[in-house]
Amino acid sequence: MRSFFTRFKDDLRLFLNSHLQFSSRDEYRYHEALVHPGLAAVPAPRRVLILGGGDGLAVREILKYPLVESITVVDLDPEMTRIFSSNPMLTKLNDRSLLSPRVHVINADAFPWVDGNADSFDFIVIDFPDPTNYSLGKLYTTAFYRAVSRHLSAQGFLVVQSTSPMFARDSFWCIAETLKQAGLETHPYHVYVPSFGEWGFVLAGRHEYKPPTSLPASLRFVSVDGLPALFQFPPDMAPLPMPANQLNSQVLVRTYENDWKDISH
Amino acid sequence: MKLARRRFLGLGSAALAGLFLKGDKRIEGSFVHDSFPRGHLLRGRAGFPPAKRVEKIPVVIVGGGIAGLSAAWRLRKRGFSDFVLLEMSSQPGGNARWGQNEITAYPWAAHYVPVPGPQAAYVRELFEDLGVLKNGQWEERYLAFSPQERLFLYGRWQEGLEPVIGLTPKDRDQFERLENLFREFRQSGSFTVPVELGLSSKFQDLDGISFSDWLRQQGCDSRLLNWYMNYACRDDYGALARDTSAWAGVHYFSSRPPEEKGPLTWPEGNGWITRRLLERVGGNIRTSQMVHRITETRRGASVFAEETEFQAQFVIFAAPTFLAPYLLEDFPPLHDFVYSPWLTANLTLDRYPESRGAEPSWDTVFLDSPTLGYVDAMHQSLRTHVDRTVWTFYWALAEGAPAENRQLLLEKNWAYWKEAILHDLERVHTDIRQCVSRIDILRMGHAMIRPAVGSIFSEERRRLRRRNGRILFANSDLSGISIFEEAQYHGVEAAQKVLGRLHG
Repeated sequence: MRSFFTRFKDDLRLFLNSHLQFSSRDEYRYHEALVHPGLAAVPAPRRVLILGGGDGLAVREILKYPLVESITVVDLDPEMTRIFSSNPMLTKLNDRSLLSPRVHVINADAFPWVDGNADSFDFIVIDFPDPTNYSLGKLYTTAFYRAVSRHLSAQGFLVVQSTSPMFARDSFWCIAETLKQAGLETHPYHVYVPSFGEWGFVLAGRHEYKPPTSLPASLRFVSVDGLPALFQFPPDMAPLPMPANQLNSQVLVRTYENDWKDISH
Repeated sequence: MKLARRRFLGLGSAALAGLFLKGDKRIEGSFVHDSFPRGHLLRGRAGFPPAKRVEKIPVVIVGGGIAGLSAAWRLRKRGFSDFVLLEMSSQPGGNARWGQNEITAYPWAAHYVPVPGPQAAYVRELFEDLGVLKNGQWEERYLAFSPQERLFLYGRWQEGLEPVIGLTPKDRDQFERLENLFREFRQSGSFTVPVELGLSSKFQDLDGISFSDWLRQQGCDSRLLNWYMNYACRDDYGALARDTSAWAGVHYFSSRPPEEKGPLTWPEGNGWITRRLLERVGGNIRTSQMVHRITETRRGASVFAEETEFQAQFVIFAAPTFLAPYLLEDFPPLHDFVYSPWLTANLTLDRYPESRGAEPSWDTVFLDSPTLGYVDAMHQSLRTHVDRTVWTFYWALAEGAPAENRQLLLEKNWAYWKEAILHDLERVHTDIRQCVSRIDILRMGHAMIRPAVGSIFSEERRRLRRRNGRILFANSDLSGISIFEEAQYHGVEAAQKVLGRLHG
């Protein structure tokens, strides 16, 4: 994995393998949307797991929940978690979240880690790079979601960053279908992040989802009143029938490649 | 996350490293698991020491490959544990042996099982026992991950092994015609796995000619098509199409549904199945036990292994059948049992070589290579980040007479085969010598039964399958086709016959 930072005036951007990971100008929209619709709906969450997300930005949002006792971050890249724990510009951005005593950073490959661990979590954030190749594609399969869901407590939810339902509509609904076939109830939603465009997430669990009626104070984007609208999909992003992504088919990688080919040419 | 406006190029630092010509790495390795020194003792009818001990035990299984292990599995599953399994080598598994190094487990021979159809009832039962088949669903982790196969041809890669690049209309027409023929054969219901269930004299004529002659009769002279047919025969039978029965050639393509989602595979190939079977029957197995004589009476049979005489009521002979004339008194010489010699090698790679334009796949084949290419043991890993791996390289010595090729296997040293393997790989992966740190080589003179012309409907084979004495034969070579399902079928069948007769 090769990472680059760019800075233009107050805009700090991180690229991994030339894919934009965030822009400091609007990353709060992405990370608030990733965390709060799900986490605020879990009654008394104590333990949280983040797969990917070594930048500590989702952690920053989760630390806004005083009941959360422990946050486990599993990220492949030790360089990533090191620099986001030490570089002043970056620790300012993530509020020194990775240095919190409530946070445990583990540098490991997610799938084997999930397989080898027996802990239970009240909220699980799955925030991987888009499925641009067959290696990453393994982390978007029914096999992976089944393995992750074994870690979910009875009242828990998990959330998956699911690429853009606008630019990669087939891919987005393929991820949602994959979660369904892994035995979960799904609740897809989307937000607008200027540097990315329209972006999508799938919230999943074993029970009904009701949008939360209260949120941590001082959020800049997600609001109780605004939440229900996130779960509405206009016709140009509406659900499409897609097959589930499996280790032996990897339909998502091919779908994703076609989705982006369609808009980039 | 997030936006990818450009397609990933896949040009990592490895690409740059290739530009700098460093000295080649030192490559270690050796021959492993040589079995011929012991086998040749039998051939030479060497004097073995007389038995010093007698053990009375109702059932003895000779041979710890899949046939023998499957017989043991069935006995134990039926609650019968009063038996021993004698294995010549120090490691059971036969063609489903495996190895392990600091990177991964890897196969020494067979590396997959196609998703079994409804007729392979014993295979399905085993896979239910092993958690491979759960509530009618195949465990996703055991199905070969995508991308599965790639073929290198004309300086580029394609997905899948059947050539799709550079086909002329004539090639295309012939591929299509054959596909239609195979579909009809499939629908006939005569080409089944296991073979015995569907075997019908209706298609016996096919066993009377070679697959290449049959292809010629169908007007199939396309070079690419013939390459592919030969590849299939080399891969499953260790033989060229001209040395393969047309019945067997047709069986390869007509015995399974065309769209299956498998095959089932594991990092250590079918060694995974061996391991699971050993967990269940390991207590009954004695390794490094060379059986050197078996005698049969009306009331039982004696098996002489090392310095022990095992006095049994029944013997399941699961070792390759060609050994029978050397072990059993007055056993007539066999005529319809021809075996293909093979070489497999496991290559330890400290990094992946460049293969621009293709994602690493499970199985890689080169057009027009005499070898069968290689399988990547880390392909079934759940990791996203893999730098080191083990490749299992397969080479059926199909060109020429099996006896001459066995001689070649024996005569040439490790360095000769190492160079031959690297030479083959180097044509495609130019930087392979900078990636490989170790090459271990397994030589197998009688690696698999060859379904030669006339062998499927052979009277000799039929007699052995129906033999009703105290010694029951169980090797996959009874089918004439050396695949997991056949070995397992004959092993289970033999165990059931023994149980029936013991209790009957």
